[in-house]
Amino acid sequence: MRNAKEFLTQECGNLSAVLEETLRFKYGLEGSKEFFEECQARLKFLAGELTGTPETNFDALQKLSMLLSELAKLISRMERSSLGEYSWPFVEELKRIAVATCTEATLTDPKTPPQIFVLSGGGLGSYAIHVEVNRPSGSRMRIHSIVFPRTLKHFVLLHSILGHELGHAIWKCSQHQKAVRTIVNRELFSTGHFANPPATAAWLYANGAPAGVKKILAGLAGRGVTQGNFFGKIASWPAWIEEITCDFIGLVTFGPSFVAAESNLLYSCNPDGTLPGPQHPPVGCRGNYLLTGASVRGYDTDAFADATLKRAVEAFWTSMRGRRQIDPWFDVFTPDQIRNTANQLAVLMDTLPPASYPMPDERDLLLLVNQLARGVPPVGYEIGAGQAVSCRPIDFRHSLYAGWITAYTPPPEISFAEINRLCEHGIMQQRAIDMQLSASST
Amino acid sequence: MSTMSRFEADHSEELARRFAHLAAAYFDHPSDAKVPAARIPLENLFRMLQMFRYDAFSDEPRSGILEMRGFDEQMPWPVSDEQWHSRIEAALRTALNDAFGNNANKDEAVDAVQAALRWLATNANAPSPDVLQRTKRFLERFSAALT
Repeated sequence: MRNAKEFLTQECGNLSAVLEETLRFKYGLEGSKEFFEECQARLKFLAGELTGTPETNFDALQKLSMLLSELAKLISRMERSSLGEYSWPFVEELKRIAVATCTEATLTDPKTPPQIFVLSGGGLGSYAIHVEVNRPSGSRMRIHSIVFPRTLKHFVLLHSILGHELGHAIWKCSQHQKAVRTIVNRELFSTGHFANPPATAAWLYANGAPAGVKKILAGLAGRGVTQGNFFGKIASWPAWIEEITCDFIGLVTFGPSFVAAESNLLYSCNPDGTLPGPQHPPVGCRGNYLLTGASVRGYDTDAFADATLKRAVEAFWTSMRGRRQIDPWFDVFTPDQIRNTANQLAVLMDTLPPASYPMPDERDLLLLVNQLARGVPPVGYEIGAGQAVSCRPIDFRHSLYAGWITAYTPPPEISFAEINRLCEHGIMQQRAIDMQLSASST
Repeated sequence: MSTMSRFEADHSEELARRFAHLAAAYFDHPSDAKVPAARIPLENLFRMLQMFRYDAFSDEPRSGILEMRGFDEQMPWPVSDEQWHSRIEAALRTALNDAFGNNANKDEAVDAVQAALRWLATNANAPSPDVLQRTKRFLERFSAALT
């Protein structure tokens, strides 16, 4: 039987072999050289620490065991990123925003872009951007992993929900965390139901809370959970605060598509919207403040000259508003709080282009919606009078919005899956158009 | 089921102490700071200083947006509201005050330490001997404060 130090030393050798075997191949979007170097640096550091650790220092060996285990998990996840079971065109666009928002100062570069890889797994609940911790760890550079549900590979309209996950990534950047926290603490979390944990618990346990909420809380009471210890014993108030903040960041980065994706996905997990979670506030209140946020930002405008487009946009937003919880218990923030928060976060995102959602003009939106209605991928490509071809840039978020509008235009002529497929192709084709436009302008 | 489970303790303080100890030693043996593995302690110290500079210690791993676990399925809570950083933050403040003086501007002191760490890693843009000396003292005090 080997002692723990010998065993961990062997594991360092094993990891080195796995690293050589896997990461010398191309993984992710831009090859794996950076990932390989990062993992190698981590492994060398851990191996060096292990060498200098006495075999009787059990605390240090346990810590190194944990760090080696984390490195092994990371390498395994990166291996899976080669499988490509997700929408590449969408990922390319998402990465552009992630790089803009998550670039931060490091030892040798004041603007170091994040290292990002992508993988797929699981089903409906898998959407996530995992950001490595900022606190002391065995990492040199932090690596972000974007996770798509395997079952929703081509459903790019739903991928808009990753705007929320971008919020978590932004939150984990020290510089942005301070700026974001300053805004939300002042506008959302200084007064009302979310001023502090007792205020939130009082709202949750209020006599006027929906029956669904009361039923959950009654079940928890049997386990000793009360209004006084709900946060701390069974749920995290800081987590709720962060999740709400990330909803607002999702709103101002992806606009209408985020509202639609979050509404569809969250209500599919919890149809009556009453379920609070350990880390998330109830779905219904999230849906409500997002609808108000979309309105105060002007995302729900239907002021279009083209009557057909106007009707289609109206139908989409009417359907979205149909999800609003009528019970005022769900309205946890005032419209002014929501307006101030969304507007100030949008100003912050404006400083990190292309993070902020740009409003589409009618001409673009009409083009995209008409293309989808004809079963054509939505792109900035038109054949005008005399068969003259013209190309123009289109923000991928406008293609997604056009997709959502089409999905809610009665009568449904093409399936939701087909609309997603067209939008995915549209994003990919737009990339080619953008490259052509860029080449012709130089 | 996995073969074992364990409560994963937070090792932030031990790692911070170790990183500060290693970086302080690099001032006596600068060539040790140039190897790739040395970037782990140096980058970690740089990141801690950024968190300190911006008072941005919120750093909990979060589940995905749709991971709507019911309360019944979860492990005992809380797992993430602990103040993992309180001693580290206090140690950083104490060490900076000690090395740069109680009246030193926080941003300037952090800039100075980060510049010295950068010099250790790259050998470029050497700070003044005074800054190098103060940084080494900061690292020693930081490490000692976490003991």
